[in-house]
Amino acid sequence: MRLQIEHMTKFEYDMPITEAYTEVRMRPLNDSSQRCQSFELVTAPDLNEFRYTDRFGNDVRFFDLISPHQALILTAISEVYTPASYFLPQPDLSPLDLHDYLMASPLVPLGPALHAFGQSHKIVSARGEIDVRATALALMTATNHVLKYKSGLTDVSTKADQALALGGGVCQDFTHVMLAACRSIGISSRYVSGYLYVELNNRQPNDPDPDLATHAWVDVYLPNEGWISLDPTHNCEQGERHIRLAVGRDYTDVPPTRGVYKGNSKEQMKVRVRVFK
Amino acid sequence: MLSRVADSLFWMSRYIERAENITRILTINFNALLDMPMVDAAKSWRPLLAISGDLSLYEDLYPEINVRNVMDYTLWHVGNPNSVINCIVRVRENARSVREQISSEMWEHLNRLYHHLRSMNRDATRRSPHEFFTIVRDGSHAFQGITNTTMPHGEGYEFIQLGKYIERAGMTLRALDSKYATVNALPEGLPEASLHLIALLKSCSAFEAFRKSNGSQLQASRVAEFLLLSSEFPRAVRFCLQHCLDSVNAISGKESDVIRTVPDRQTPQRLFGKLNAELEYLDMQDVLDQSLVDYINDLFARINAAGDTITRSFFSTQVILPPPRGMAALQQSHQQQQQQQ
Amino acid sequence: MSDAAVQSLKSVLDQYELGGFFDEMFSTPHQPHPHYQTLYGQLSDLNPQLFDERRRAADASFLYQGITFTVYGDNDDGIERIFPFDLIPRIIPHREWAVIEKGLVQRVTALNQFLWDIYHDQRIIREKRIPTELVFGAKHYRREMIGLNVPQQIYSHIIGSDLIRDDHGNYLVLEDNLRSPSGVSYMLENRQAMKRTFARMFARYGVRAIDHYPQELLNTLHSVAPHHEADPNVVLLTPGIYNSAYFEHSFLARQMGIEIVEGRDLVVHDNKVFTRTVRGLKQVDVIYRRIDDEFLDPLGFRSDSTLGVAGLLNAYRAGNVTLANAIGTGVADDKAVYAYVPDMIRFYLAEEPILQNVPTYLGLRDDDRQYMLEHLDRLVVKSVNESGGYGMLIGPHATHAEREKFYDMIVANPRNFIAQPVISLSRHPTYFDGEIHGCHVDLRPYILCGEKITLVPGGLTRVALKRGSLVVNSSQGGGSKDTWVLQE
Repeated sequence: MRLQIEHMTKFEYDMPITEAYTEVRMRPLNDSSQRCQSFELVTAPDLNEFRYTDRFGNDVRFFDLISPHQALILTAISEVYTPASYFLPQPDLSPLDLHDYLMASPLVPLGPALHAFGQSHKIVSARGEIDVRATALALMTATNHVLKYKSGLTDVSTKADQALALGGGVCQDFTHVMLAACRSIGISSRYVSGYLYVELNNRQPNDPDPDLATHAWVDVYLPNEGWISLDPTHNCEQGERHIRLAVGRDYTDVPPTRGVYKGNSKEQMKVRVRVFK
Repeated sequence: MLSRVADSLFWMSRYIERAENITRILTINFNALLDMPMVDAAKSWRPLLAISGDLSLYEDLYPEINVRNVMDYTLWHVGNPNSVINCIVRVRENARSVREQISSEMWEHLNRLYHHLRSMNRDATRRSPHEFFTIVRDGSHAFQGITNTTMPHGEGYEFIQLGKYIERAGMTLRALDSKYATVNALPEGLPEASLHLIALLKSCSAFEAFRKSNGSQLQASRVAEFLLLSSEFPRAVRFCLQHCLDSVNAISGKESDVIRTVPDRQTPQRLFGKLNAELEYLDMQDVLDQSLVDYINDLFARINAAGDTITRSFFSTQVILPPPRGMAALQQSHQQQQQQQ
Repeated sequence: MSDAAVQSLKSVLDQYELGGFFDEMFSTPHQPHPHYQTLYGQLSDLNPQLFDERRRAADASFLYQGITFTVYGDNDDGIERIFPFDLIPRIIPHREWAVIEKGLVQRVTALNQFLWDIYHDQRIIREKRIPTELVFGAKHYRREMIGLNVPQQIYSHIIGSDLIRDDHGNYLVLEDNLRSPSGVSYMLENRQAMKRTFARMFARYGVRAIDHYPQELLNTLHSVAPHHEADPNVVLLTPGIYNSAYFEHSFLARQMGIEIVEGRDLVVHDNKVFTRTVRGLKQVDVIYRRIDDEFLDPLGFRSDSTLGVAGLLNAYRAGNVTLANAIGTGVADDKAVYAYVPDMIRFYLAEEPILQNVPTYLGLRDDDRQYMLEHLDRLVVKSVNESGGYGMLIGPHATHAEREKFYDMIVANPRNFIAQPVISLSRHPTYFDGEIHGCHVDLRPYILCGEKITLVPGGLTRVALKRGSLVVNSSQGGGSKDTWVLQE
């Protein structure tokens, strides 16, 4: 499916601030399954833009605005072709990926409760080996059942064990809980940040608020094969409505924007995401 | 030179000058009191406390004004931001933060001065502060000499000169201010008036220099003219401001491979230039016809304003680049939104 | 001395006891090693009062020059202390130094290759020469550095390796410091003090010079500038005057004639780093930084850091500025990774290590851990991420309760601990409290890696000034000596 995304972020300050540095991870990923046709980032004021590719393969743009200012507006416009169903072939993982996608990370601790949750949905084949695909699908459904979608219950720094204990949260928390469960039982998995296309007259309760946020779900690694992608918030596999932006160990590796500035002013951030067919 | 370094050199210099000046101001009264036992000690200390520190803070800390308490407050008290020991601590802290910019000799001298003062018997100095005064004054003088002979006379040196002279100009004005009104109120020809004027001149190390240029005429107006307008005496206001202007010119005059960040850099030059031009052509009689005290206060305020431009032009760490290309675009996009509404 | 009648130090030296340790000066009581013969003769002739006077003069000059470090204790002011300096020099004969030098060059070559490897191909891990967990799980492994190319593939430009000698006099490497080793200013100032105090004795000995260290350091920093700038702008980045090593930062900047800056003096614009000067912004090419990785850039690392400068990491990634040392070198001086340095030398250089490690048990290995837990009373246990003598258990001197505490900590987090046998460090005659005592010493040579690898002969000899103490750190009551490497 061909989709267009307009992602606007507006930072406002009640007093002038200086030396603002911003990093942006908003360019849709380009891989053998999803194709990013075009991407443009517009800043107001117009700033010199720089880029690099981070260790997870994500495209990062960054810029500075050091003179005093009270507003900064970023608009990311992308055009992307999404597959009907997603699969990314990758016969083996590097030693670092093997380590990173299996170990605890800042927001995905592997405590006893999460381990027990993972263990209780483990599906073992007749030969006594874990069936990764079936287990991952079971964990997706289980996560979807054990957590209730509710915004305001958690925030960006809520960890997987806290979300599990609270019994709810937003897509970020669903994703962290499922990641922790997978990793606890030896399944390599990673965080996916992205968008979800929702027709305006067809919104479901679990769909992201188009004025607030991006979406998140889970990539699971099938040994010797590659990545499948599962959305525990909607209890479905990644489909043509999912747009992939960035991957990492957890949210801390992939925030759409990250910034620092100097000044004693309060920052107000407004985000508006629109996805069109 | 780094803005922060220039800032530290400037304040290092101001604080050692200030430490010296405080001992000079205290000396005025100390000597005057010895010569004039009839003067009300408490009353005579008040204006000096107001100059060298914070009078209301003093009154919070001590039940009465006497030499012992005044010395404790002005020399040693850690709560008094301008106590001599606090000044010396700040001299050393500033020097330490720019240790690699000043000569080892300068640093060792300041460090030694600090350790020396710290090791003094505080109680003895409260009773008889002369030795303390001498150490501070000699320490400051030696520092000027060491600076002059061991530090390259480049940009950093000019900031040190700037700090010294701007602080000193302020001190001379304040000393003059503190005595002039008192002396003027006394009937002419009273020995007390002369004693006050001699104390004032001595506190500025100006007695001999004044005698040489004015002979035996010890009048308040002449003393004021000398301390304000002499272009040769190193503690006179005009002399100080001339040197400030020289330093500002030396600092602003050079170019190098940097991105300029503050648009208007002429301001310190302009303000110091104007002050110098005014003092150069000032007719003392015009001032005396109006009010010397008002003039001193006005001059003091303008010197401070010139000092502020130094901070803004050279020490400010806020970077204001030439407007980025998009500033116009930002205004445009706001306009468009409004048109749509 | 209680005995005021003593006329020379000879009688004091004659009472000196070797105590069963390898002694740097004496082979047997009254019998110095050949290279100490002249020193022994000269010291013997010295009048103790004179010696003591000179010692006090040296201390006073350290204090007045501000060669101090700050110890923060219960009162928040902090106390300025001089790093105690002992006038009896440590002497290393030429042939011993030649081996040390060769061994250290070999070691740092392998360590820099290891650092390149773990941030690029990860060959050493793929070939299973070191456990994955040890590298990727290390606190100082920086994922930001993956794939990032540093000039000439050098990560650690300034290294201080700590050497000790066992009871046979063999030099062993106790640890490598690849982040920002300190102490080199003491090495240089100690030499100045010795020259002032014992000019004649010094002149006779044929001691190799070390005064060119700042120039060598500057050459090293120049050689790794981006794009081979003709006259690169090098600055030293310090946390500020309240840092305990500020004297050293300022000393080195002064000696090299470079600007010393704090984070607030820097600003990043258009992916380049500048200093804020009285005239505007001036671009920086090389930063010799003396602040830790995680404080370097609030955008890339800890957002609460005010010591660094935002945007630095991106400018670094783009190759617009060089950091010395590079980010992420700490993984190679992790005390558990240390155990694998001999293997690194074999793996990358196909050579046998010239300098040996101290035998090390890793909490990560099951057998080692078992041995550690059973022999806590005989081992020195160290937490892998602590330095400066903290987080350490000296088994034979510890109480039962202390050992229990470490037992539990090791069980809870085995990756975090290593253990080593207690090495009876060599001792050196040292003068304090009016007597000459045998005190344990180590040696920290400083290795510079730029276009070439350079060592100035010698290093900082640290000495434990508490009787029987094995800890030679400045923050733990240690002192130092001048170190003389003799000419051929």
